[in-house]
Amino acid sequence: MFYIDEDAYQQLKNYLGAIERSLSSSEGKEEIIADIESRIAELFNEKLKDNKQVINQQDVLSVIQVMGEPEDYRVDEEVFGGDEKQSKSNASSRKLYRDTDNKMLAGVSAGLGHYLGINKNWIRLLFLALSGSGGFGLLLYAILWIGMPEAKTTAQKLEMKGEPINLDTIEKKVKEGYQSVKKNVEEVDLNEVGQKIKNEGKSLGDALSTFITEFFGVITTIVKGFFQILGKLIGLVLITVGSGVLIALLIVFLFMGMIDVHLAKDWGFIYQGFSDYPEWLMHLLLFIAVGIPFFSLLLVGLQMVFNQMSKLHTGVKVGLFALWLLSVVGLIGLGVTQLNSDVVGTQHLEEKNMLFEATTDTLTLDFKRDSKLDMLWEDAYWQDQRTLTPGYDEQGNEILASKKINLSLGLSDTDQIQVAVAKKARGLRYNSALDRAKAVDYEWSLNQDSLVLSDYFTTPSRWKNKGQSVKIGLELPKGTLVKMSERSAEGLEHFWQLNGDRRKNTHLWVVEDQDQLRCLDCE
Amino acid sequence: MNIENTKAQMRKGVLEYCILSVLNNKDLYASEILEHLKQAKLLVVEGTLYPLLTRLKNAELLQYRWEESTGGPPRKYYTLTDLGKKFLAELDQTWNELNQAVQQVTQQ
Repeated sequence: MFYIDEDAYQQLKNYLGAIERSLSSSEGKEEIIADIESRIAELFNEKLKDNKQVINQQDVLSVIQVMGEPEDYRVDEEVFGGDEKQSKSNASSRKLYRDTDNKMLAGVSAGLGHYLGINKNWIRLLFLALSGSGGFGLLLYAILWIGMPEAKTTAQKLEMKGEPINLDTIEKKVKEGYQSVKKNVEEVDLNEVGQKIKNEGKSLGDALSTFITEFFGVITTIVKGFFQILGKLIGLVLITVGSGVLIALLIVFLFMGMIDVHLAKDWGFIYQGFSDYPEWLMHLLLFIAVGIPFFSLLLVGLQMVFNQMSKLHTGVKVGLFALWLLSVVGLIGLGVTQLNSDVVGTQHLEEKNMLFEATTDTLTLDFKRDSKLDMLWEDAYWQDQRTLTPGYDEQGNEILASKKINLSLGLSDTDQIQVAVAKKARGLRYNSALDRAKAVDYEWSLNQDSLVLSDYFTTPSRWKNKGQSVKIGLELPKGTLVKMSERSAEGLEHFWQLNGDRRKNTHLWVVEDQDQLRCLDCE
Repeated sequence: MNIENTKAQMRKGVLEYCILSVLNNKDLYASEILEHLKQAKLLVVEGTLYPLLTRLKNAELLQYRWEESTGGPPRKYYTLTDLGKKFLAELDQTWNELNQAVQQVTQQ
């Protein structure tokens, strides 16, 4: 008699159980176990000699070391079992255990796989299929889970993975079953039966409690798994969105850099822009301001999908954030200055006067067109000739051209022809507005008896949409004779009331009133 | 080929013979048999012995009797049967022959 603590007892029980299973085929198994038990008792007694009262796990372990692992009991049978033909093959036949080393849930499928010699995944598939058709698979799984012991010791694991089942072993199994039944019938002992029922009740209770703890373990695994999968899906979406936007941005950004004036005329809405600052600065700021958030989305997505992804260094993160903040502030700043940039409008005035004998002399008026620019406007995407349209001048410099010209005809108080050309532009400050106004290039000339005007003006391409326009004020004494080409008349009719048929080549006009000319030689 | 396996099998091959020999002079119980075998380093772990004893007993080469012990559980004392003695004599002869044969072969 000795005291043995709970854990040590459990361990010892497991050990003896494993030996018993590994000896399953030999005759006189109970006797061997009894002998082993008494030897163990003897070993325990030795341990208890020096004032020790209780057997603990340490003692059990050292005893197991002396006695050997369950496999050691069995290998002997293989060596010496030559006279019992069937025992050899049977000793290594498989046993049904739950294989918790290869488990998905509780190792039932893996265990069955070993037992039946089928890949465990097929069995899992079968369980899934059976579960799909009315939950039968789940029930079956639960029952097997409770019913199948877990392979804990090496011996059990070896047994679980033993040799394939063959005719020999099946025959032996049947015989064995018959013998144990016979034996049980012969040795009916009421006490023993009672004991057995008790034991079994206990082991069923054990099985249930382990089942319950394992069940909750599985539930948490499933919930965790669900969220993991959900997380991965979200991560994938994030990666797709992040990388998609980044690639699109990159393409647009690079493309923007390549846009030149020629391309831009078809892309007027982009090229028109609204900035005094270089286009690339705008684009870069936009790229950073939009790109960084999507870049971080992409990173988060990557981290969600690949758990091992190393996280960004904090310094890098802070740097990225700072860069983003800077670009946003920059954009806002650009926007604000831009909104304010049209506040001041001003004009640059060019004036010329010329003494003129109104009733005798004739003023030749030509309203000049530029055929190259006309073609440009024909090609232009938006067709509005009054918008600043990109093109090239004779030197090949980028320019903007427009027909936003206002021509008003007034009556002169004096005998003089007065021409006032006002170039207009807007800007943030008066100076910048004036600079832009001066930069408006409008060709006109007044000399002797002719006035030559352009029907367009140009301006350097760096100033877009600055409200550039040209206003021409022409004052002629009443009754001035004006000779103009057909083409001029066509251009000028936008501004002046031209009375008469002007389809014939060249006509003579007389100034009648404000903005009003009358044809003298029209039919 | 695992050398440890081969060694163990060679040892185990003569175990049955040795158990019978040990019991030829004197009746012993399991722990005493173990002592003899362990001294000779024929056994590494004790567990191996019990299935063998049972096997020999089932083959009616051994029999046992219970004896009370002082301050412990009763002990099983094993003794050779007549059949066991014959078996041992035959094994002695075989062993000697085998021994000679092995020596002859290995010393060539």
